[in-house]
This record gives sequence, structure tokens and C-alpha cells, in this order.
Amino acid sequence: MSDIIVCQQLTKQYGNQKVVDRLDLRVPENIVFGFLGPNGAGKSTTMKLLTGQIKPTAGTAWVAGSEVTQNSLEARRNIGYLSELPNFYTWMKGQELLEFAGELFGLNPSTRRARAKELLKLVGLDEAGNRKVGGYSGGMRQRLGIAQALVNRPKVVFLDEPVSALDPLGRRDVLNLLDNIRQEATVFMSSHVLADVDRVCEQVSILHRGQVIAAGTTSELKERGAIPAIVLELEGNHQAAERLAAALQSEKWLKKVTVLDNGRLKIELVSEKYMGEAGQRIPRLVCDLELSLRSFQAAVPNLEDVFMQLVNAENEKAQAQNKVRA
Amino acid sequence: MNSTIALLKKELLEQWRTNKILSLVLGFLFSGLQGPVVTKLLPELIKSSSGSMRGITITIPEQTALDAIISYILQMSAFPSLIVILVVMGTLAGERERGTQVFVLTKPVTRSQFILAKYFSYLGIVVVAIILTAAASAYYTLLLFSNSFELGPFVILNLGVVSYSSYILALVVLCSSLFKTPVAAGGVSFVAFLVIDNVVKFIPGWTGIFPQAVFNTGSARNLMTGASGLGELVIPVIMGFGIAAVLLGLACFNYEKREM
Repeated sequence: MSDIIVCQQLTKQYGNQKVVDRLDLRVPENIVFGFLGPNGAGKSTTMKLLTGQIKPTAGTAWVAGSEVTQNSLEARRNIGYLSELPNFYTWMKGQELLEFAGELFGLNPSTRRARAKELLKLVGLDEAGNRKVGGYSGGMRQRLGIAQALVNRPKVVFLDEPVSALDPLGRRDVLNLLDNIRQEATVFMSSHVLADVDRVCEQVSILHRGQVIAAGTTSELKERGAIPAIVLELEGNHQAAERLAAALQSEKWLKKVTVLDNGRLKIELVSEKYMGEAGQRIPRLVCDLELSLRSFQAAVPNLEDVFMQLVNAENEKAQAQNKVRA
Repeated sequence: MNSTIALLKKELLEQWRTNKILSLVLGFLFSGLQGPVVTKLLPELIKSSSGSMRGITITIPEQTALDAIISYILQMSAFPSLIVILVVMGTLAGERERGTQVFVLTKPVTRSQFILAKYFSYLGIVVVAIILTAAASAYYTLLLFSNSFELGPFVILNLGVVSYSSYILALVVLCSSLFKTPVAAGGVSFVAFLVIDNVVKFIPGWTGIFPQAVFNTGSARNLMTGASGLGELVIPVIMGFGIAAVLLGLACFNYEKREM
């Protein structure tokens, strides 16, 4: 599998602030790639650099073999882009907007008409195609944005928060759509909804303060960031959970216990090797305290845990560095 | 080339659907038609108001078709320019403010193509508006006055109006490329329009070579009566188009450098 997006030392600086800081990135063909990071991490700026909207302070980037940092028209022929807050000409009809986008890519009238109809159907807007975009809801505009990004059958589609304005049903449809697009194009998407990224992305990069702090397949990242933990639920109120949490404090394998809502507890272990010992000890403690257990299971690591763990670690590191400097 | 045509079509459709074409044409017609109508009614207006000024005799020479044409040309300077500023000020600043330009500029289209399509679509509408206004004013002049006027010099004077409007249009497009909001772009365009018009009037020798020369009543009268040749307007007309080209070049240069 060759790399369709390559960034080398890509940097964007505004004044003294480096929004994107020597970014090295490689994205293979025909996958859905997740680009994650907290607000202000530099995700949208990176997308703008990769779509030729802004020029880098240093470094270069190639998309589908064309150097995008030179703002070449050839590079733009191979890409589709949906911005974070998509806005279109409100006086145009949905069908007209897609035909206009097709015309800008040089499609002939019959091809662009057919393509516009096909895309409207694909994103579930076939009945709204003859309505003015000004009357579309936020979710409909987002769908139209995805449709216009696909009009030229691009090799790479950049989607900045593509599901942010959608309801759960709309999100499901769009995620299914992204799943299908990967057959013909590479999808580079950013999202705050980590469960969605977890669902559709094969590879992920986590960006923090303009730098990649973790990258790999979603399963690799989850394994790397997995914390051995047990989640259990007790009969009774919050006090029952508090009593068990207090009793667990003396156990040598306990790293951290968190009392959750509805009598649930999350018990983190210092190491995976204590899983068996903890599995025997906890039910015994529950009996000794005359509590009753409703459920007991090993916690499954998810992308959100990994993301929070990595970002918090980076924030702590930055705070420590600031203290040393001060 | 195809994308330039696509952009031009989009601009014209936008101006049609958002009633900008109607605003420009009606604004120009309203201004231009004041020339023959006010000239015709002027003696009556003065006669009716002179009743309160006993002992004062005002003698008004008989108004002719030539006076109506001169008045028409004068009317085509200020108000049409204001309409152009109001209608065009948001052409780039508004797209940037609303975020709609990202949709176009991430397609294989240069920023210069984007600007030029806007400029030439507006110029086309302005030219049509001037032709319609000139034709309507000429028709009303012939209808309201018994004498006639020379068509050739009248056409040349209108070419001067086109040249002047192309410069005003380019000035507004440049301001719209420089500022973040349509209001700021419109405000600066208006101030620049006033400053340039007045500076040209006060610097000796400049009045005759800048496009504002079209609105000089003495020159217009000489041209219409044949007292001066058509060549007198050649330099101002060329200057108008030349300044427009320079302003447009600056707008394109600025936009190519600008970050979205």
C-alpha cells in the first residue's frame, strides 16, 4: 500500500505561535484516516494546508502525488473538501450547487447532472435537490457538503468534523457512507466524536499543540493505552459502592478505584498480571461486606480512554516544563 | 477556461436571483432620466417658486435637447457610483464573511479567476444599465424637446461613462478584497471615491486626463456642439480603463497572497 498523503516537517506559524509544528505524517491509500486532537490542536489548520488554502511557514506536503503546498490546480483536481462549518450559496438549489461544483471540475453537462443526482441520492437529499440551500437544516447542509466533496470522484476526501451537525440517524448514515467511500478514495477526517472515529477509522493520529503525540491503527493505540481494569455493579445505593471502594484500598494490586453512578465502580489495577487475583478477591470482599453483585466484567479499552490519557499526559508534561521555566 | 465560464454564469445567476441586476439597472435609469425630465421641468419649477420673490425677475434661457443631454451626463456621475458601491461592496468580503468562498476556492479555480469573473459580470451589467439608461434618456430628450442632438458625440460621452464606471467598479472590488466585512469595504470605497474625485479636481492639468473629465459640463457641451473633437475624450477613456486594470491587478495580487 503506497502513501497517498505525505507531510514532511510541515509547519505553520502565526506570530510566535506554531499551530502546526514540524508535522510528519503518512497516510496509506483507500483507508479512513482519523485525525484527532483537542480544540486548538491544529487539525483544521493542517487540513487547510493539505487542501492548499493556506501556505506553510516551512515543510512540504503531497496529496496523490502533487505538492499541495504550492497551491497547484492539479493537486486540487484530486481532492474533495468539506470545511468544519460548511456554508454554501443559499440562493442555489441543492442540485444546482452540485452541478456548479461539477462544472468547476470540467465535467460535461450530462455527466454533472447525472453525478449530482447520484450524489443527492447517496447522501439522502434526493427529495430536497430542487429546494434552495437557504432552506436546508444544518444536517442537510453537512450532507450536501459531503456530496460536493465527492463530485469529482476525488482520490482523497478531507472532511473536517463531518458528523458534528448530524443527529444520531444522520451520523449513522454518514459513517456508513464513509465506509463505502474507502473503496474508491482515501478519507481523511477529523472528529470530536471518538466513538465514531473508533467505528470507521483504520488508522488514527492524535495531534496536540501542532505535533503528533500518537499514531497507529486504532487497535494498536487501544492496546498501547489499555489500562487493566474491572467494572462492576452492585445492588443498592451509592453507599454500597463507597464501602467496597474503601475496603479495596489496602489491596496491593489496586491502582485506582472510581465510584461511578448507579452503584458502579471502576477498579484499575497496577498490572495486567493481577487480573486473576483481583477476579477472586473482589467477589469475596463483596460477600464479606454483605453486598450483592449485579455485574462484573473486565473493562474494554476504547479510543476515548486512550485519547484522554495521552492528552492529559501531554498537558501534565507541559505544566511541569512551565514550572521549571518559572 | 471552462471554470471561468462556470464562475461567470454563477455570478450572473446570483446577481439575478438576489435582485442586484434590478437594483443596478433601476438605479442607473432613475439617475439618467432625471436629466431630460428635470431640464424640461426646470423653467416651470422656477416660475412657480418665483411668486414669493416679488420684484426679482429671473430670465431662464429656453431649455434645449443639448441642455438635457448635459444634465443627463452630470446625473451619471454621483448616484450611479453610490449604487455600484452599495451593490458590489460585499462581492468578496461578503463571501469571506459567510465562508462560501471556501467551497469554490478548494476546486481547481485560481483566485484571480474568481475575482475577474465577479468583476466582468458586474461590468457587463453596468454596461447594459448604461446602454438602457442612455437609450431611455435619448428617447425622452427627443420626446420632450423640439430640437435634436448629435448621436456620435452622445455615444462617445457614454463610452466615457462606461470607462468611469469600470474604474469605480474596480475600486470597490479592490476594497472588497482588502477588508473583512462588506460594510468596511463599502465605507472605504466611498471615502476613496470622494477623495480621488476631489483630488483630481484640485490638481491643475489632471482634470482633463482622468475619467472624471467626462462629467465636465464645458467639455461635454463643446463635444456635443462640435466645438471640440472627439479626441478630447480619448485620454480620459483610456485612463479609466487603465486605472481599472491596475486596481483589478492589485485586487488579484492581494487575493492570491491572502489566507482563507
